[in-house]
Amino acid sequence: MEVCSPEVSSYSHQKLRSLRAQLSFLPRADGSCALEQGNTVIWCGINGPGNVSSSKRLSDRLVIEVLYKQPHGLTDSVKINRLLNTALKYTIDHVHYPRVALNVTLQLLQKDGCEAAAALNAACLAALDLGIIMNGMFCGITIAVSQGNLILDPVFAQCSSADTIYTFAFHSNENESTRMIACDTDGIFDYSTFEAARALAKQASADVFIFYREILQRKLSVNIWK
Amino acid sequence: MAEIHLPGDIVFLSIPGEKRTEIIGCGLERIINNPDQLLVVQPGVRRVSHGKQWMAVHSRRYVPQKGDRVIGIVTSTHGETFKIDIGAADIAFISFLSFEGATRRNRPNLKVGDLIYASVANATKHLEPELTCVDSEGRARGMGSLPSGGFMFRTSLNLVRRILSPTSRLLSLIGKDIKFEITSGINGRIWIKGINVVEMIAVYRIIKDSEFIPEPDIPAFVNKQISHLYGFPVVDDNDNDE
Repeated sequence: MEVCSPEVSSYSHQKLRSLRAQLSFLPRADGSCALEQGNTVIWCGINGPGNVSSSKRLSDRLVIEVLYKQPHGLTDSVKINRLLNTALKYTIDHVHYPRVALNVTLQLLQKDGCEAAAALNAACLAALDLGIIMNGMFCGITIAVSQGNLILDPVFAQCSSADTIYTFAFHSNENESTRMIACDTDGIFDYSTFEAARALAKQASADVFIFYREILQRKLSVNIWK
Repeated sequence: MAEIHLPGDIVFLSIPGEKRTEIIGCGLERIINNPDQLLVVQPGVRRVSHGKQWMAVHSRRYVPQKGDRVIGIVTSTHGETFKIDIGAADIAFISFLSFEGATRRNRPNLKVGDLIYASVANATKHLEPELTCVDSEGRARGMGSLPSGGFMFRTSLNLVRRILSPTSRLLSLIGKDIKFEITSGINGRIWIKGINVVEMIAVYRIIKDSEFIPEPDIPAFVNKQISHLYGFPVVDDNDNDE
């Protein structure tokens, strides 16, 4: 019995759904982002580095609190909280901010697949808007596997009918190559399928980082000095 | 269009045509094993000037630095110190002896809720920041309690730095038509006081709305706002969004 692993090159034509973002739109948040990924809409607000109660305070590093909310109930928020916490802890220079807390709040407004990936993208854009010290950028990519085919950035219908769903978080730094810093899987899969999905997601993450650069270019390059 | 850098980018320490870099400012960090390169840690536009490099970061959260002039709100008094809210992670404190001419018998008259304009005397990431309202010679030089009747509002740190920049013409253009006092704190707080409430609101609106307007467009913007204030007809350009 020969198991054929999916060919990544067959799906290089796949593209992410359209991404749109607006920064600094919440007046009371220190950093905020409204992200639209296809039909998935998510808002993220970050406050901090701010005050923290003494019971939660850590003397040597930053405390990151993530609150992810869905429009209906609290299902599945623990998983996304962990993904976000891992990506933020890896990226934000937590040694630089001891004894303070960073509050990250995400609200999912419209659900159409890839909620975890959109949450990761919104959190990174909000952190860039906040201006906190980071060692790089991160983004989220979701891959679905259905009947042996890899689907990049699936919509809700594809997520429901998929055999396996992978969510990857990638970290980008010019000093080293893009690497995976967190991942979450649903379903049963072969390891070769996982590797093929990761390679495809890694390719797609370059598009997300280019999108970040475009958004920040539009915001930061206003000539206010001379 | 200025080129921006995002966290994770690498820029070079030496720049052709510029003086050798001696001071690395905020937003840039040295890389281990790579002495001629710098790692960008905050997003913004890189600035180079007279042997210094730094990132012009757009931010709203203030991190105290020694020597900053800030506007604080008295939150409580604790014996010999006042607790001052400067919008940072920790509550700052100031001793009552740090005011001009203050002694144990002659205490400054501060109540909860008063505004003060102070200088950060000591600030590290491990301790609460300490403020002072006198310089090294014991003179206030404009620091101390702010008078009543003014209006304080909060802006982004970038806007305050822009207002305090010597190349900015915003305040002088407003000053041609409206008489007002202004105190800008580096922590993103601005205090203004005018002759009447209408003019104070006008100044507040001009400063607030000028945040993302390029510097060459500032004169036209201020002219338009002043015309609005005095009820003059304004030619509505298609380029301006309301």
